[in-house]
Amino acid sequence: MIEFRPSGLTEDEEALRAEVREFVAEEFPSGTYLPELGINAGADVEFSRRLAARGWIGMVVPQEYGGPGRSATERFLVVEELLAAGAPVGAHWVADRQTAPVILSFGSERLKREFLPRIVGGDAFFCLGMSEPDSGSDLASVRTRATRTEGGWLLNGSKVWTSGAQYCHYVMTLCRTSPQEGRKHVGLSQLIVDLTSDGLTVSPIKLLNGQHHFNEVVFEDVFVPDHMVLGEVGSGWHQVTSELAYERSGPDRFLTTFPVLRYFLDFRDVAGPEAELRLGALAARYWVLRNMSLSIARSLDGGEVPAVEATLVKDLGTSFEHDVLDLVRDLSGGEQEPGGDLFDQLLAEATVTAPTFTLRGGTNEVLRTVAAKHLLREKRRAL
Amino acid sequence: MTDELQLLDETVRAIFAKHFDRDTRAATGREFPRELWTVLDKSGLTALGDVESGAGLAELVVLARAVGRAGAPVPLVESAGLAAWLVTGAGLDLPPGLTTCAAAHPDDDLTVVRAGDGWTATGVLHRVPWGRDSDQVAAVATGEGTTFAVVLPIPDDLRRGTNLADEPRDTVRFDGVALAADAVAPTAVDQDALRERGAVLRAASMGGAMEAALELSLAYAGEREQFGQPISSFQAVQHHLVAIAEETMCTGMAVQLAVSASPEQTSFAVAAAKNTAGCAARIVTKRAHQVHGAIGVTDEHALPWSTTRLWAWQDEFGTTRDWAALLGRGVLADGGAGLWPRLSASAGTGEAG
Ligand SMILES: Cc1cc2nc3c(=O)[nH]c(=O)nc-3n(C[C@H](O)[C@H](O)[C@H](O)COP(=O)(O)OP(=O)(O)OC[C@H]3O[C@@H](n4cnc5c(N)ncnc54)[C@H](O)[C@@H]3O)c2cc1C
Repeated sequence: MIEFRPSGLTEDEEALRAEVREFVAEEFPSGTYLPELGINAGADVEFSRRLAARGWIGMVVPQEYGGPGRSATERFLVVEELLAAGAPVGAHWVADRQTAPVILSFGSERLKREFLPRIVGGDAFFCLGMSEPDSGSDLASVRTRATRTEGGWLLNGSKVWTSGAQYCHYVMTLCRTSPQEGRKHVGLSQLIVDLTSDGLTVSPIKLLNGQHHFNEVVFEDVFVPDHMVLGEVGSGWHQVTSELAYERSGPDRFLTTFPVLRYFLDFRDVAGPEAELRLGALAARYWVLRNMSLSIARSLDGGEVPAVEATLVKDLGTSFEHDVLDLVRDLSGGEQEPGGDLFDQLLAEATVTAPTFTLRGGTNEVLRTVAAKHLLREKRRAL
Repeated sequence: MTDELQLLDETVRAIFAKHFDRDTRAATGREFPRELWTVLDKSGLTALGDVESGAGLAELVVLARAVGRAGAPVPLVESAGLAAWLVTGAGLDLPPGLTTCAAAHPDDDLTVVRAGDGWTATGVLHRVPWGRDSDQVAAVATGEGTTFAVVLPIPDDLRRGTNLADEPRDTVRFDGVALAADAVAPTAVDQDALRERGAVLRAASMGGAMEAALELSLAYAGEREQFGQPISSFQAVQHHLVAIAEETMCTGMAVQLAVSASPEQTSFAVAAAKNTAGCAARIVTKRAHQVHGAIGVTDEHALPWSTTRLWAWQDEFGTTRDWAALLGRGVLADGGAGLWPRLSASAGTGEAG
């Protein structure tokens, strides 16, 4: 039986949080800006640099690689404040959440020295080259392939839905490094590819509301030097799946629509029995989800890899993000005007981009199937 | 869980497993399981909430959860978790025999007045758990402009009622009943405080009942075959299982948060726990029955031991809706600026889990 433990905060953690809260209150006074919606956030390189100057990017990177060596819990406390305020975290998001920890876990000494200080400084932004036109949920079926060449690899294929490739510096690319014989999970590798490489093209794919969020990335004989292979050649699948506990459990999986709710309460008259009932149940859910997510950060700090817990929290959290919108729409009533005030604009954007919440990072259907298999296996073992 | 809590959990589980197995359930049916109660009583568990014992809410949550998991029709939450706590907390002795506790029903109204050396009590307590099987009932009464903890003998002419799980919920009236001086004492626990504690413990029992429903569903899905394969291989069934697991975990977490909450957070955390358990109960009952097919709605099956309780307990010690409204009023009072600090308030020390 999976159990989550409540976790209080130490004095140092409370102090960090107070510091972040003060910073956020100065940067984002309510009503003066259009909040970003979680990881759909755009890039604001200057903002990322300001965060870096405070030591809030790549927080888990140890001092020997230029980082502050703080915990996953401390990172959690920083990012949840940013997301709750709708900060523009897009530029450094992937590097901070995922690339820094995986380079720490699997990267060679050279990769660590080369990349970690730059991530921490807000000077190296990463995107994720996993999905392809024919490989979505069935990620292990990727066909982008790297073949051996003098001093490195030649990469060919194409990636789609690559968020942020238009402004990032590197794309962490999952590809096949040996032909498939038998199990498709064997023979995959992760390559760090410079987005300015010869033979690499990035083309925008517009979101349904015209925003440029993700891209197609095409590789034509792109040369990738040997040392840019992350971890072992052929261990790509193991490495990618071990990222999932980081990728799936964080505050970005339940806070996407929080700014909508906050602006709703700030800028509309909300009252009455229906509002009480529905907001009450919503508050209870936020409280429980946040504490579950925090408890996963604590387990990561304790050296555990709570992958299934993370899967369940992502399923619950992203579904909940939709519920928040339904509630705000019901209580605010009337037609939506995307060109209205800041609240109207925010609600409109949230409404039309909501489908992304439960797709990206593994669809909820697939997450549930993964979790069910685990639960059934555990049960069989117990019998 | 700390080692002590773990040990308590194992002890209680072992008692239920030994004295309340499938056969005993089948044999006692809807009757009060005297033998089980005697064992619980002798082990001292029925008085665990005695403030002298050093057991706090965390220990009582362990008991409450075990009751829910076993689906055992015994007033352990009421006696150990509520009566012992209320009575000894007011400096009174817990009398021998079975002492149940009033359910903090919104229509309860009990007053005491001094009469010679003792007191007289007048009023009504609604839906007292296991009233008919108890020797006395602990309750909160008002009088002299303050609040008292009282222990009242159960009158003969109670009005029988039950909840959806067939657990006794009897209404008892007192019409100038004489009470000894040592049956009444001032207390800081008012009706709301009693309801809050009852709500956390009910939510804990609900979490236990959900665990049982999850275990049964996982086991059944793994062994039942249709179309030549276990039904657990069907994705629709897998998704039911995951939803049950998710809601069970949310309930467990919400209860632990209520246990570890700091004093200023308690009312929010308690309301969130009972509301979470109530919302989760709806999902778990629906989906667990769906997984089980027709066998799950039969009287012999163990699943209804969980689900009937989950249906009933949603409404006890404040309904799901009552607690939502309370939380909602807080959200509206805090406004947009207050919402995030409220939701992200640090959950106590984390030591309770
Ligand atoms: C806004 C956004 C940003 C993204 N950013 C990135 C990025 O930066 N990098 C990147 O690599 N990818 C990114 N993605 C891609 C994302 O990871 C994929 O969308 C996701 O993995 C699903 O793949 P798909 O879209 O091809 O859908 P499909 O896999 O084709 O799924 C279509 C439908 O079928 C269902 N389905 C598929 N297989 C199963 C199954 N076995 N059981 C049950 N149902 C199933 C799915 O749940 C879904 O409902 C992004 C996606 C979005 C929406």
